[in-house]
Amino acid sequence: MKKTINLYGWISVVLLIFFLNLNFVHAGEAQPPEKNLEVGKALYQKNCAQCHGDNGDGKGVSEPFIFPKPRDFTAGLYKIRTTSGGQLPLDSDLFQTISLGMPGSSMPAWQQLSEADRWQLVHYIKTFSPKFASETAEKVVTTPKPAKPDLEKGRQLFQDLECWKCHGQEGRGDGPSAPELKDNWGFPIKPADLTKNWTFRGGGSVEDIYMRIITGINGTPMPSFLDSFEKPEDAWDLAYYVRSLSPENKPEVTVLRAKLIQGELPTEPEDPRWNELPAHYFPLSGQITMEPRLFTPSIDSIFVKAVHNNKEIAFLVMWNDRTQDPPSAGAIQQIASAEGQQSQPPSQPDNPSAPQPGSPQKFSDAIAIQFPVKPDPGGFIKPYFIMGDSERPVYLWTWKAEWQDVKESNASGPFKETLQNQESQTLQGKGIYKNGQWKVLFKRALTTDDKDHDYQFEIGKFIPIAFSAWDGSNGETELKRSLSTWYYLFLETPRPISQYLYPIAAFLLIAGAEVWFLKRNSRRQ
Amino acid sequence: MSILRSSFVHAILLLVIAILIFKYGIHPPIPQSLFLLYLIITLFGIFLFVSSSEETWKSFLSPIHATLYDPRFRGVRAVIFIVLPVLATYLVYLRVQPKIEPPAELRTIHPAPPDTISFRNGTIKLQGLGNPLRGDKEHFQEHVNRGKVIYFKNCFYCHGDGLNGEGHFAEGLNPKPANFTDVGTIAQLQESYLFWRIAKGGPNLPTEATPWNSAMPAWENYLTADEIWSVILYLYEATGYQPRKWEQDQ
Repeated sequence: MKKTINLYGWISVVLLIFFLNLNFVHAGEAQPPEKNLEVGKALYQKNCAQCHGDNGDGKGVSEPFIFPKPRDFTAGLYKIRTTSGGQLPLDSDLFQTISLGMPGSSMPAWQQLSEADRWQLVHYIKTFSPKFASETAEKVVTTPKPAKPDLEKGRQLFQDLECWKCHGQEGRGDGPSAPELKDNWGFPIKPADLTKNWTFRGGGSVEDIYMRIITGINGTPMPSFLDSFEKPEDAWDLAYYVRSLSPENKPEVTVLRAKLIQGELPTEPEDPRWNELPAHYFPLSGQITMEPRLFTPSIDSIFVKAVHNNKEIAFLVMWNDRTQDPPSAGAIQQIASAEGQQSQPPSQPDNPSAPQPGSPQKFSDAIAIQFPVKPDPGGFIKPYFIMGDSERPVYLWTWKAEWQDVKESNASGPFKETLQNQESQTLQGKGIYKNGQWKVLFKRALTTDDKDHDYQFEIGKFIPIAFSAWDGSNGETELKRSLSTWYYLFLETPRPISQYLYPIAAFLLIAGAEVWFLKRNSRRQ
Repeated sequence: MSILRSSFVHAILLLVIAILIFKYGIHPPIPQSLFLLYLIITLFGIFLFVSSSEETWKSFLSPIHATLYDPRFRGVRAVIFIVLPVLATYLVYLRVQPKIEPPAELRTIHPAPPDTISFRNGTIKLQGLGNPLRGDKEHFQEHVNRGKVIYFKNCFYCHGDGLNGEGHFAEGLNPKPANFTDVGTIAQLQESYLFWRIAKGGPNLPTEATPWNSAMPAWENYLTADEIWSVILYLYEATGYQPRKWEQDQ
C-alpha cells in the first residue's frame, strides 16, 4: 500500500509543477509602465521614424519604396481596433498592432522590444494626433461566438452585404469596385485577398476577422458592418465564411512533386483532374537586385501543380491578380504601342529607382518557369537565379496574356534572353483568367530534339526550378517582376515492387507468429 | 485487487505522462530524435521500476498473461490478434513510401575574403583595412545617421526593420537574408569583410557559398565607398556589436 501512495504522490507533484509552469508563462503579461514621453520619443526615433517619419506623418525615408504605405499618425485613423467604426483605437489596440505587426505589409511584429518599450511607443504615437485629447473611444459590444457556425448563411451574407463588390466573388480582392478604391489620403488601396488569411493586417483568425467586420478598418473604404446584421451573431457566420476562403494553415514550401499518372495529360487549365493534385506554394519577392528594380510587387506567391506520364510533363501555375492585363482585345493595341518604350537601359548608379509617381504604365500579365539548360554533373552548381549567367544559361518557359500563348527561350543573364526558333518551340500552353486568378498550363515532352537549348527531364532526379511573375497593371515587365530563388522539381518514379513486398512480409511474419502461438496454446490445454 | 495497485497500470500511466510532458511540456518543442531518445530512457526506467521486486514483476505480467491465456479474455485476444498484423502492415507501408528530400545544400556562410577587390574603377586592399569613418570622432554620429538613412532606403526590405533578417521580402528568398543581431554574423567579422560582401554582393561569392541563390545586389553599382562605410557603422551602432579587429591592431 505504501508503495502505491508513493508513486501516485510523485505523479501528482510532477503534474503540479507542470501546470504551475504553464500558468507562469501565461501570467507573463506585465502591467503597462508609467508613461514617459521622452523614452517613447527616443524609441520612436530609433525604431519607427524611418517609415512613419519624424513627425508621424508617414513620410519617413523608406516611404517611397513600400506599399502599403506607412501609417500617417497625425490623422488619428487606425486600422486595427476593437472600437466602433471611425473611433480612435484603445491603447491596447495600438499595443497589439505594435506587438503583432501588420502581416502583408512592411510593419514587423516588434517582439524585439520589451513590453514596457512598446507601451511607451503607444503613449508617444498618440501625441501625433490632437484627437486623442478631445475624443474618447469605447470597446465595441461583441457577441459570443456561436457553438456551430452557419457557413451557408455566411456565404449568403457575403452576397447580401455586397462584400464581393470589393473583395470579389471568390474573395481574391478582384471585385468590380476594387480598381477605383482610394484610402482617406487619396492613395490607391487594394481590398484584402481573402484567400490568404496570413496576409490580413489585423490577423487571420476567425476572431480577428469578426472584429474587422464589426469595427471596420479606419482610413480605408472598409466600413463597420456592426449595424448591418439582423441578429448580431450573424457577423460570426460571415467571419467563419471569410475564414473558410483561406486554407487551414499557411502553406509551406516543399519539393514540387510531379505525380506520375497513366494516360494522356490534361491540356486544359480547368481539367477536373487538376483538382486531385496537391498545390505547391512558392513565395515570391520583388526583384530588387538589378536595375530596373521592383520595390512594390503585387504578386506575393504562386501555387503550382505538376503531373507527368513518363512521356510528357504538365504544370498548372496559379496565382491571384486583381486585374486582368491586357483586359480585352481592344486594349492590346495600346500595350503594343507602349512596348516600344519597354526596354529601358539600367539607370545610373547612385540613383535608386524609386517607383514613379502617378499610375504606372500598363503591361501584360505574365508568368515564367525557369530551369537550367543542362543539369550540373555534380548536382550542386546552378545558374544565377535571375535569368542565369554567361557560364550557365537558363531555359525559360514564358506565358504572356498578350500572346495568349507560351514560348521557350534561353537567357544568359538579364537583357540577354533570346526566343528559341520556331522548330524548337514544342511547348504547349494555355492561360485563363477567372475571379481574380490566373491559371496557366504548360506542357512539353520530357525529352526533345533540341538538346543544346532545352532541359531534358529525367524521372527520379531533383531538378532546379524557379519562377517569375508579372502583374502588368502594376507596371511590371522585364526585370520589374516578382521572382523566386531556386527550388526543386521531382518527377515521381513508378513504385518499386519492394514497396508492396515489405508490408506483406510484415503481415505474414506477425500473423505467422500468432498462429504458432495459438497452436502451441491449444496443444497445452 | 485494486486496479490502481497493478504495476501494469502504473507502467502505462507513467508512459502516458512521460509522453505528454515530452510532447507538450517542453518549450520550444524538442526534435523527434530527442523525443525517441527520452522515450527509450523512460521505458528503461519503467522496466527497472516494474522489475524491482518479485511482487511488482508478477503484478506487471499478470494482465499480459491473462490476456494471452485466460479463456475469459478470448474476445479481447481475438481483437488484438487481428489488429496487430494489420497495424504492422500499415506502419511498414507508410515507412517504405519513398520520401523526397531535396539534396542538402552545404553552403559556406562566411567564405574567406580575397586580399583585394576591384571597386568601381579602382581596387581596394581588404587586408588590414578598417572603417575610415570610425576614426572621425567629430562627425561620428552624422556618419551613423547617414548610414541609417541608407539602410532604410536600400537594405531593410530583406534585412528588416529590426536588422534581424526578417524584412518583408525575406520569405521569398532562399537563403534567408543575414540576421545582424545574431552573434554569428557581423559580431564575428571585420568591417572590411562587410565592405566586400556589400560592395560585391551575391554574384561575387565563391562557389562554396552558392552565389546563384543570393539576392544580395552588388552595391558598388548603387552606393559609393563612403556610403557603404557609413551603413557598416550604422549596423554596428544599432546592434551594439563591435567589429572584429585585425590581429596587429590588438
